[in-house]
Amino acid sequence: MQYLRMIGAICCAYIALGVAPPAYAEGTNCGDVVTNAVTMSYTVNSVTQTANTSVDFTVDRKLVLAVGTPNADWVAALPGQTQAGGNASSIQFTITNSSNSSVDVVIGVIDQGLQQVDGFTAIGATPITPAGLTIWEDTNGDGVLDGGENTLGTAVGEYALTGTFAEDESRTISISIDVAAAAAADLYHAFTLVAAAANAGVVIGNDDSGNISPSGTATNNANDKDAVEVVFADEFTGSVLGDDEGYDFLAGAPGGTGTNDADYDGQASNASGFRTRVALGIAKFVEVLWDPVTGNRYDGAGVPVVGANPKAIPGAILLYVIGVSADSGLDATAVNIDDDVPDGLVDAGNTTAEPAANINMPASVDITIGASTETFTLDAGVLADSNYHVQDCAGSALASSGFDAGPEIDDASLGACDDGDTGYVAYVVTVIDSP
Amino acid sequence: MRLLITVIVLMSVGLLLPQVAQAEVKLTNSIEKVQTWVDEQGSVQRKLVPAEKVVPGDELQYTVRFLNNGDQVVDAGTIVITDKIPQHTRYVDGSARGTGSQVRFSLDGEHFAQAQELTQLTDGQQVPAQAKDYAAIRWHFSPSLAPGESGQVSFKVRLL
Repeated sequence: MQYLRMIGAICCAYIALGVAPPAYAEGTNCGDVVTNAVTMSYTVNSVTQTANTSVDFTVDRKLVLAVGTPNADWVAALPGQTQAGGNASSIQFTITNSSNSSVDVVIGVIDQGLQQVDGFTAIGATPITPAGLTIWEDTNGDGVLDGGENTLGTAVGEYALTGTFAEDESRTISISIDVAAAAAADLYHAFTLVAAAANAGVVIGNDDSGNISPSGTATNNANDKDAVEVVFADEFTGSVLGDDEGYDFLAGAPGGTGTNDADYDGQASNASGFRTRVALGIAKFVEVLWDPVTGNRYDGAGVPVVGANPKAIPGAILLYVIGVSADSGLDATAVNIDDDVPDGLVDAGNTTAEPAANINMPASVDITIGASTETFTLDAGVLADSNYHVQDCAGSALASSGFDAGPEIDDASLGACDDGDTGYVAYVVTVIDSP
Repeated sequence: MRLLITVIVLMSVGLLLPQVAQAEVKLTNSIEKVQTWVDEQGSVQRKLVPAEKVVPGDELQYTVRFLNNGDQVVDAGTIVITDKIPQHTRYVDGSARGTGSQVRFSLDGEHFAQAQELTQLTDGQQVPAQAKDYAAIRWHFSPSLAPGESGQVSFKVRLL
């Protein structure tokens, strides 16, 4: 119990030194003496008399750490993002000291692999193979692992954070990984961070009320209202999925997969994780709308073809749609599309000047981009004419332009494409007889 | 002559004056913690336990007991108990108790009134005072207190 005496000394040092303890936003500092004074007056045979008394107690040390994450869902990890490249993807945890005293903090980082995380979207079946794991404290506050921070280590396990957390102090701990350039989309990997109250860098194994950190020895010390005693006051309010796991710091091991952190154990935990995403998906769609021999017409996916399927024969009209889908959790800006019309095989635009009655634009086309199929609804302004037509990711009014020499499309602007946005470039060509 | 002077001196220091009635009222103040838990039926239960481990957020009950240990009756309607809300705590609304007593509250520790009569200046307007702003409580105990009789008052606070 030596450390408990030391803790009491920490609380009371402020008082002994006559120094105001640090501000505690919402609570009374440990070691403060609270006095209740009562006075009483009365008369006996009309003679006034008085009595008074008071009672004191000393505020005990309430230890509460909170671990949160600003990540609302899986953090996008793009293939090729690496620490060496200065753009490694990272997840964040915030550790806050909500105690009524300062406290040291030791953290435990647990590799959860394919673990569901409460509040995050359901995961797929394939984990990321993380490389370049780095656990770091963002001491320069720029959110980027760029050398201006305190690197704690490169493996899961325990780390004592430097210095002491003042009351209400919060710090951000990040975990970064490298993602292979060839990594597929929608791979997952979760990590849990557990923070435990410590003294001089050593996790506090028990409080004075019979509560323990895992593997600690329960001790219910003799009560003394005039002394500072330690009370673990953390309450588990987290996940039902087992991702907010506890950590046995005394044994030096995670609490066990699927075992949640507990109430009153002097620690708190939270989970977050990575999901590989493609920054922008792009795919090109082509369909024969009409041919001059059969006159058969394609009116769109799922719509019965007029006559037999039209064929890509000379004079046929083809529709090209270049679909772009942002599905990364990141926002892309200045998205431009270049496209060369196959020289010699087709003429850009509807060079046969075939009447619109024979060439109907489909209302929409389905384009498979990566692992998902997106439906692109074509604007009414997409015509079988000599222009190419651009619908940007913001859904602005359709823009139409003539082809550059080549023929080609140069810098068709889709603007900024935020996560979930789509945009497209659409145009028709005419198949010619010979180069 | 010497005897007369002695009598005068003794009278002047009160030794020959009629004995003034003294009622020895013993006043005690105790503190307990309100422990709350949810039972198997899901109902919230509360009980008072010794206030030995007290941390911010705890609810505490102060109980003031008074016992007439003397041999004289304390006059009816004269017992007044004044208790300041301790620093770092906030009064729990509606928690003041005292059988046979009228309870009054004060925002400044000097002027007392019934709860519904207390107002405070907020944004330039007098508005009803809130319990969290009470600075002191006063009980006016109506009955007399015969030798051997006792009474008690109590209130609750929450440690900030």
